[in-house]
This record gives sequence, C-alpha cells and structure tokens, in this order.
Amino acid sequence: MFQTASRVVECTLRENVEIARGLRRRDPELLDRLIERYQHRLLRYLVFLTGNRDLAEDIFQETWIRVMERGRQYNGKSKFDTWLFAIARHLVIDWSRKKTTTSLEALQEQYGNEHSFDVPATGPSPFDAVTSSESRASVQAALRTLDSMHREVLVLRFHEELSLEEIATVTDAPLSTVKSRLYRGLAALKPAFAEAS
Amino acid sequence: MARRFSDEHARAEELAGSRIAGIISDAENQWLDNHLAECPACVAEAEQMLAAISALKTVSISARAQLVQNTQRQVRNLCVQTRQRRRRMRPVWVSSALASAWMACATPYLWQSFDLTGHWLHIPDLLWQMGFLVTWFTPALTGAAVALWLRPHAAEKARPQMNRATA
Repeated sequence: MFQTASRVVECTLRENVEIARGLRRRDPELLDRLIERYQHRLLRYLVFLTGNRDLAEDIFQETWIRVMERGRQYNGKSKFDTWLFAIARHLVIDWSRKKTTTSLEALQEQYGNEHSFDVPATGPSPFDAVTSSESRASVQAALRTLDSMHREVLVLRFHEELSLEEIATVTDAPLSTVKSRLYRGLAALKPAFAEAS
Repeated sequence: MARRFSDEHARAEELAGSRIAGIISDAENQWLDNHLAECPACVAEAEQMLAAISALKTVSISARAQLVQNTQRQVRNLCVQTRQRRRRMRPVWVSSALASAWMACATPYLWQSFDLTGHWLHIPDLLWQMGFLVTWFTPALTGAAVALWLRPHAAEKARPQMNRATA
C-alpha cells in the first residue's frame, strides 16, 4: 500500500520534472498534450470563476499562451495543474482590473445572471447528458447565488479535487481563509440548492 | 436546555460541512457521528448538503474541440516564432558579446594610441578624447541599434491576435 503510494508520488514528480523541461524547451508537442489533457478542467475552472463562458474561452487561450511564455518559471516541484490554475486566476484578475472592476465578485455583477454557466447553444451539451433539466436548473440557480470567491474554492475542492494546501497556492490565500471560504461556500450553497429544488 | 439543544444542531450542521470539505478533526468527526446516530433531523440536513455537492459535481462543462484546436494552433505557431526570433537574435548576442570582450581588452591600448596620435598631430585633447569615446561606443551602439530594429518586428509577429473559437 505504502509502496504503491510512494511509487505514484515518484511518478508524479518525474512527470512534473519532464513537463518543466519541456516547457523550458518550449516543446510544441508537450504543449499540445497539456492543452489536450487539461482542456476541460481549465475551462470549467474559468467558467466557474468568471461565470461567463465567452470570457472563460478567451482567458483559456490566453492562459496557454502565458504558459508557453512563462514556462521557464515552472520548476516541476509543485503540481502542474496548481501552477496552471494560478496563471489562469491571475489572468482573470488582470482582466477584471483592466475593466476597472475591483474584485472577482464584481465579475458576477458585471455579467448579470442570465448567461452564467451557459453551455454552448449549438451541439449536444455534456451537461444535458449528465443531468435532467430540472436538477440542472437547480444547480445553476444555486450557483448563481454564490460569489466568485466561494464558487472558485468549491470547484477547486469538489471538481478538481485539489487539497486545501493546493487551493491556498492557487488562490494565493492563507489556509485558514481557504477553509473559511469553503465552509461559507458550502453553507451558502445548501439553502440555495434546497430553495431552487 | 433548549439553547444547548439548538447549539448542538448548529454545531452538527457546521461539522457536516467541515466533513464534506475535509477540514474536520478526529474528535469532531467522532462527535458528529454520535450526534447523527441519534438525530434524524441532522442526518437529513447532512444528506441535503451532500446532495448539493453531488449536484455541483454534475455541472459538467467541456471545452469545444474548435477552441482546443485553435489554442493548440496558436501556441504551436508562437513556439515556432519564438524559436525563429531566438535564432535571428543569436548573431546579435554573439556580436555584442564579442564587442564587449574586445572593448574590455582593447580600451587601455586604444586610449594610449589616441593619446599618442593626438599629441603627435597636435590635436586638442578634447577632440582626440571625443574621438576615443566615439570609437569606444560604436560597437555597442551598433549592436543596440540592430537589436532594437529586430525586436519590435519579432515581438509583433510573435504574439498572435486572440481568435475566438467561434470566429
């Protein structure tokens, strides 16, 4: 058991070092593979963070370009996804500053609620395949009631399954703040979900 | 008594959230288990919270193939352009390094030769010293001018415009 766990950790570390080397070389094949591998996770995080699909797609592209440009800064000691989400988060903050909004919470107000968490209008939606329209509406309604900070922590914890320490790294916040945001997010989600359903 | 009862429910609710979030201590976990064993109302509350989390996990947002392909193409182009730019800048860096090395080695001799020539031709000190400075700075200024000329072109080409996947 312990041996298996340590082998997994060793394998992850080796993989991180390989990624760091490839990013230093600006290896296009490696970047292709990384985009392929993290496409859904990154976009999902950005949609949760911004509450807007179009904006999330723009920042998705910008994030990968930033990864290519700043690849030398990734040292392979931390997990790649943590680093990737931190870059994406900084780009969202940069974007909100450019738009003269002051915080991530302001994004929700700026975009209103009607387009939040919209999946593309064309083509079959994976969302439809997974949930009934009733529960989808409930989840959307519940999520709309949360602000970006709490949504972000919830998605990192329950969708991306990052540890609390990793969430603290991504959000650049103390562990205690992460815990409190997580708890408050959950507390806010529960009645909203109950009400919506 | 009633107050203690309501506090216990509030604590159970709080701890149920902490347990789901993975931020609960062993003692708190034990307390919660004991409380839930004898409180159906709190069990229902905890189940509701779990249902909320399960529902949250069903929000499945996928990246469209077009977005991914566009991003891959842009990143690949950028990689190629960056490599080309680096290759183009290499002679500039090499010549700058050589010029710096030459300047470091030749400065005392150059100064002496300007000094000797200036005195031999009876040129005013200020004039031959100006001549020395011009000669001394020429390689660096040339290198900087070439680098400046190359850089804006490279930077403009290197950064593609963001194309929305839907475009």
